[in-house]
Amino acid sequence: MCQWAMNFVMPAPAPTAAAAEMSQKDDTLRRSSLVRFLRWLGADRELAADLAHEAMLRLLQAPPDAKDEATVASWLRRVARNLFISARTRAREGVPLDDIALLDAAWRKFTAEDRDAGDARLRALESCLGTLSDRTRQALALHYRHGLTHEELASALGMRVAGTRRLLERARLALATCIAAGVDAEQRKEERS
Amino acid sequence: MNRNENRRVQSSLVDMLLEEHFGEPAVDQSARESAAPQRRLLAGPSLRTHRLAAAALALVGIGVVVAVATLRRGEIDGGRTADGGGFATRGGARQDPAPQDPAPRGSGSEDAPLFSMPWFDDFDTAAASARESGKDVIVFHYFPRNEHAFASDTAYLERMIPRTMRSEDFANGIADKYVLVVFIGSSALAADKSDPERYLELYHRFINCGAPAVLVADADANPLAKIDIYGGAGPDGLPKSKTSAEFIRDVRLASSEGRRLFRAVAKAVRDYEAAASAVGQADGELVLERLAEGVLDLFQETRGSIHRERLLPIMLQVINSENVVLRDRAVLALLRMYCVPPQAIVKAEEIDPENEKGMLDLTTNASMRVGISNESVEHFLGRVDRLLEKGAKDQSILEAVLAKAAELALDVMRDRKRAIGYARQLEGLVDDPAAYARLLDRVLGN
Repeated sequence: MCQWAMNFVMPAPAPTAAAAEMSQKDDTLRRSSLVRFLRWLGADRELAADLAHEAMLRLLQAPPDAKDEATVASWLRRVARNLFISARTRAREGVPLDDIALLDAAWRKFTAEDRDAGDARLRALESCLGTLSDRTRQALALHYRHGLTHEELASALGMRVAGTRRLLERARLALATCIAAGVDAEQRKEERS
Repeated sequence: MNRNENRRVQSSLVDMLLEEHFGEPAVDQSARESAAPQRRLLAGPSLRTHRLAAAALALVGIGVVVAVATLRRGEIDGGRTADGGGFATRGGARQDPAPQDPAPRGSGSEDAPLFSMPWFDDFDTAAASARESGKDVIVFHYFPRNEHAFASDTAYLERMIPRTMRSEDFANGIADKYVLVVFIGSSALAADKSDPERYLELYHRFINCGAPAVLVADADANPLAKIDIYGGAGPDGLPKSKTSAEFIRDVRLASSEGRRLFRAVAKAVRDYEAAASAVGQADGELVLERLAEGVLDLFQETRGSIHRERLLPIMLQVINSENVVLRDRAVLALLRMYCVPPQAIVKAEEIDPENEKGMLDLTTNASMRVGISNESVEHFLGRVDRLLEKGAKDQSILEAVLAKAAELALDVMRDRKRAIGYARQLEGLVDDPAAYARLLDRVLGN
């Protein structure tokens, strides 16, 4: 490592007037929603953070004409999706990457029309996990927390590989149903109060 | 959206949420308790979020589950698990008792080490283990996330290591010669360590090799070799990963060559320093010159290796040598380094002010390689002007230098006239007329 070569600083891009208008709250929500959106597409944490940052920079440099939140959020997602495709990363299974309308509709639903970044669903997931069997929870932890592949999971649980795939898929669908119900219940509760 | 599509989309969204929910690996208490108590796996709070910890624990987890499942089925055979996995053996390293001699029922049970490749998070603990068994240490050296900015390097290393290590080949190929340690390098972490001074000493020692890196070190914390983790592709063209076999081969080759160079460099430095302290005695200068020649040869040989930095102080002494041949050789060798010490540039200009030996070519080129900040642009352009005034010896160097000077004059100095001057001098030198035309268009403002 040569110390004398470490004195170079990349100049930060100058913020535009649009940047000044953007409230801190909006910025944080947009950024966290974008990161999660990119994670959904299949980006790992670092790539998602990098691409979200890039998309936000583009918003500062060349913002869309329309300023309403729905348009801006949708524009950001399009940019993020294009950046993701350019990064040549494999998309997550089941993500309709080629159908921008479907992709956007699914995300709007997921984030309750961009009102949150999907945090409500993440909270609901935590309580829904409790409804699963111990074995299913164990399989999910080994797969998602410890990164075991289907093959390793099959070996660890004494199952066939296809069986572990079915087990995880059933668990995800059960969780999706439970999460949707949980979010609906939460919304109804908020509306009543 | 039809029903099937909807299911797939919902499943993918939950998949993402589950990754996020489980994404911060918590230390699995049962797995930790089941692992060998005398071994220190990745359990420090600073490492809990690390994927390596997850990978290591995953292997422990596999070992636990496989061993328990196997014991339940009564299929333990000769210390190997029924699926041939290599992690459920006693004593750390894989053992293959005779088939007629089945392992005791307790083999692979809670009090036996289930994971044949322990990962340490403390270098000195790893080194003590390595010293006891006559092994070297493989150091996976990272910066913490978001520090030093090179996220893609760290992310790549994090992806590569679990893939590479999660195999029996890796465990078998590495365990007999190496102990593994993960070293998260950051001065900010020192306060959390039991011995902050020692941690900082190691941090500075490893960071000199660059990071993130996979290093082979001896038990005294001397880095012996740095493994090329990118498979030659560089961080911008990350390959999927190295296979276990490739990784093991690289580690073994690099560590044997690294050990040889380490010894040679240590001897050269020791001898030179001893001779330097004895200068003034009969033949002292001659001995020193002879040793300096050896250092110069070794410096050429260490090109690209982590040992080169250790020879640098002697090289900087040699550039002030009275022996003109040695001095010029040392200056040339230093100017050809990727990161050029400023002393070498100063010395080169001293010994060849009229560029008769082509030193000015080299110093100008070297300045460009080191990197040019906004503050140093004027200095660089001054150097280019001087080179033009004295006449360059090497036209190919001039081509790169002039193109850079034209860009900097335009972009940083906002001096179009000067930029045009550099660009015009490029005419007739360039190999790529289209690139020259583009540059000329730019500086002319077309």
